[in-house]
Amino acid sequence: MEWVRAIGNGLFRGRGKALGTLLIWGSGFLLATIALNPMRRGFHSLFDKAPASRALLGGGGLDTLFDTGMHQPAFWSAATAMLPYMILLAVVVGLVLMSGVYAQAAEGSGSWRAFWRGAAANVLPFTALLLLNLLLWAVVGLGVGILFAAAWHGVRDTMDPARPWHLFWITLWSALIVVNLFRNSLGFSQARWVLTGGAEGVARCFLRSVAFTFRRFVPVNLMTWTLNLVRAGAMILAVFTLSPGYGTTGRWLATAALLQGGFLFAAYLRVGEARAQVSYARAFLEPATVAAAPMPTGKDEEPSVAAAPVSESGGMEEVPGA
Amino acid sequence: MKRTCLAFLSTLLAAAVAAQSPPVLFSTPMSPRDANYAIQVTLDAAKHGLRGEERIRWRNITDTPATDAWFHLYLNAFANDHTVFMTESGGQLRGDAFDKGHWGFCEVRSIALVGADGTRTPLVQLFPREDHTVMRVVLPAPVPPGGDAVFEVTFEDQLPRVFARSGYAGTFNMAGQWFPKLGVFQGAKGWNCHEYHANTEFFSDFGVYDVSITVPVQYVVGATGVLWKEVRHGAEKTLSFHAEDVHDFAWAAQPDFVDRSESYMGVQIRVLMQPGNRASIPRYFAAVKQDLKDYAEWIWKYPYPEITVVDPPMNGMGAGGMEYPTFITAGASPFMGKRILIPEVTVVHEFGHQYWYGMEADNEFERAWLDEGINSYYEARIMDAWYGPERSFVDDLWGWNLGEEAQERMAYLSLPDMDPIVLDAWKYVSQHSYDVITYDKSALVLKTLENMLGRKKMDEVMRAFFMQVKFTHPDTRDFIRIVSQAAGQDLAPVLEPMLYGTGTVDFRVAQVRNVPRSSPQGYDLTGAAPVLYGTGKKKDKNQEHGRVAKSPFKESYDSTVVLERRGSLVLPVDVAISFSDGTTRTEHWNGEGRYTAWTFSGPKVVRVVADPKDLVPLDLNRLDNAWVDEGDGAVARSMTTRFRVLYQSLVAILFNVL
Ligand SMILES: [Zn+2]
Repeated sequence: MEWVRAIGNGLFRGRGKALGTLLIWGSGFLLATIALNPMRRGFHSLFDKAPASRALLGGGGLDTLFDTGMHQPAFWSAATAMLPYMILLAVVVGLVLMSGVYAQAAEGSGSWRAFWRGAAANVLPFTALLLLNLLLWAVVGLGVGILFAAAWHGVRDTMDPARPWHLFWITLWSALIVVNLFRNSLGFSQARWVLTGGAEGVARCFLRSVAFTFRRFVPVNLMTWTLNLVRAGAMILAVFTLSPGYGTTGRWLATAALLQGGFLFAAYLRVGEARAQVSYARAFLEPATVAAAPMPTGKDEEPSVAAAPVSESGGMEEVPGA
Repeated sequence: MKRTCLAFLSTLLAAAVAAQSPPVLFSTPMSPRDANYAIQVTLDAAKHGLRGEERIRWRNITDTPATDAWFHLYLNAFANDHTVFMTESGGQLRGDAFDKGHWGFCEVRSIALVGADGTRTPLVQLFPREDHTVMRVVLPAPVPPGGDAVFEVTFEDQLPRVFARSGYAGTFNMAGQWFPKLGVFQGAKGWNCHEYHANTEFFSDFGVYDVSITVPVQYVVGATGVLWKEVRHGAEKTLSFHAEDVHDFAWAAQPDFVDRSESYMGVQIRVLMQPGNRASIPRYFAAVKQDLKDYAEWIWKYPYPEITVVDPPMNGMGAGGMEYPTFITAGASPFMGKRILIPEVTVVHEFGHQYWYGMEADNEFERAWLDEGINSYYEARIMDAWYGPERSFVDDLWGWNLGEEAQERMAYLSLPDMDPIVLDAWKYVSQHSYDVITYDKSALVLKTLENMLGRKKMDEVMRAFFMQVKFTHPDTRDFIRIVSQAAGQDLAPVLEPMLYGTGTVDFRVAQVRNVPRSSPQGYDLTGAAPVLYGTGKKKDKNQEHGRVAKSPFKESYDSTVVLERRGSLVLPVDVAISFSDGTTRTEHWNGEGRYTAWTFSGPKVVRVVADPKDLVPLDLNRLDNAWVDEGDGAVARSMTTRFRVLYQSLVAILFNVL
């Protein structure tokens, strides 16, 4: 049960989890705060002097909110103007941060400097790996989409009223499976990249990781879906505990703190997942082929696995029969 | 009471079967019964076709002889893409799209006039309107006032794929507007018989319906009226339904309906559910019971012995949310969590139509607000009484609530002033305008009326309206006249601008000014001896004139509050004005003029709220209804946090896929 061990390694063992978690959570918090700023200011000028808006505190008064949409359409466009920039920035920041997280997972280091060194070294190949994976899985997604569009057209004339309902679930799960395949294939190509020090080049790393994802389809999916389950559980828990509302300052503070706790946990899970992928990928690579960390190791770092020259003939192949 | 009623109904039905004749439901007719139908119809389950024969006995209840007769052939709206309905709708209605290639039609094979001696005179079919949804026949001799005409019609229907109300989806068949049906003869004005328009519903006279439906044995059938006989013959069965004092007949058939019945307040409630929606059965029953209870209390006890609720399949939702006499279609879905009350709201609404449409049978082509608007008003009342006004539409969905009135107000705000409420349904600028104005604005107008009269008076007024017009075809004028009488005041000046006009209203606190008033100085001559008041400052010039008294006046302000009314709709409004000494006074403005102003001297004005009790739901913007000296920022803070959930989740998702 290598995948169980990998999850354990990812979530609970090794150094560097806290740093990655804090950086991911902190960036998310900061990005949202910057993007929300014009909206926050607009809300103050809209609501502070309007008692009718107080219903919004109790989770009602949606029609009053709607008033702003009708009479201040400019407000909403101004308030959400930052959103696309936030998304763009989040993609860049995310790539940098994940580069650092994967690098740290491979090195087993918890240092600040090592994190950023790894991030700097990996961000470009990670971008390339992302684009390649996006391309592949967009094509797959499109194919699956066309298939389901045809199925939905067919079901219109069904004699069985329950069939659309079944098809809905099949569609939903298929979409989720495709998304997860994409995430696995990307995650394992990033893990492979950091483990091999990028010795194979981007294209080969990508292809071999896709192959790896399929070859080890069942354990790899068990691993991701286990983490997804934890994530979904946490989300449901958060949604149900978030509702007590915002009525008083105390309640608002509690809600906001709980919310940030949730995001912190999500960041921790993300780091854990990356580390689990690295741990799992490492288990199926010949020890001799695991390259040195991409950077020279610093004093505060554990000695990395001795670098061995990477053989031309696919030294990164999996251990047969593992 | 309940048990005896049902026992009575079952005895009635047993007696009817024994006598081989339909039961008598009401010994005294409640309606004029001038359009009576006896129909035999057979469902071709494979082709979704209907073959039928009908015998219509019509009585001329006007004082004008009728020289012709007009019929609706509604299903012909779906015969091709050039019908009035298809042209107007563009093949889209209520979020559903027409599936071209699965057309529907109603073809009259033969029509004859049956004389008193049984002779049959074949009649020639004429099509006077733009499409074949209206058929006219010229009568060989006029039917005099009080006279009868009996028509025998054979017809063949093809049901379309479910689109607008009628049709099939899989093995589900919904037969609505399925038989050749008389228009309404209005004397000198002739026949009221419009084409089937995209936005319009229906209009017809009351009568007795005896309908025998033949289907394959495995089909479960729900229909208008009571089932009093069932006969099996080979692979088929014939079900006989009987209804009195109704003006339409609809039925639905599907082999695997989950068939449940319960009785409440002497009424047999039957629910025919999709197998996949079994979990929502209690929600349907609960909604009907709430309706039966509230309508009995507020309007009139439901007079019919039964009500059938049909749940259409997911791919036949175009048949959902529709009303027919003693028969409604709803809409549930396993998607729909318990917190979104759409199944409840749908049932509450469609059941309400038993009153507003079923018994108060307005012309839905021309004055749809009289059923949809009044019914939407009661829908909100019933849901509010049931769940509370704050959460009668969405009940705590992730911390959000939505009440019916707020929901109606949001719809109204989306297009408040393109069309008046009183308008022929096909003349609205768009389907959206028709929906918003006929349902939502009308409901809000009635809510405004309620707020003006008070709940108790409103109940008296609406009960008076219903009791006076039930089993007739009232118009807007009847409404205004009757509610004015019942209210003891002429409500025309209030109602007419809202019903016939497109004016809107938006109250706004235009200005609040607090000018500090300095303490008076100099001699006060009002007392027995002059007293000199100073400024209270160290260097006070007054001191040169002698001993200076401390001014008895406290810090005070000259305040002005200006309230503006935007839009052309004049409505009265209350304004609550609060002062720094903790007092609040309520001022009233009749709404005339563009603005009004109040001035005060004394404590500072710290808060002004126009319409503090939210009695003017038509107000286009409630955010500008108030002014407060200092806000605490709580709402802005909480709203920002709510949006933070979205924004930060978005970032988290991105970080998860990179
Ligand atoms: Zn309706």
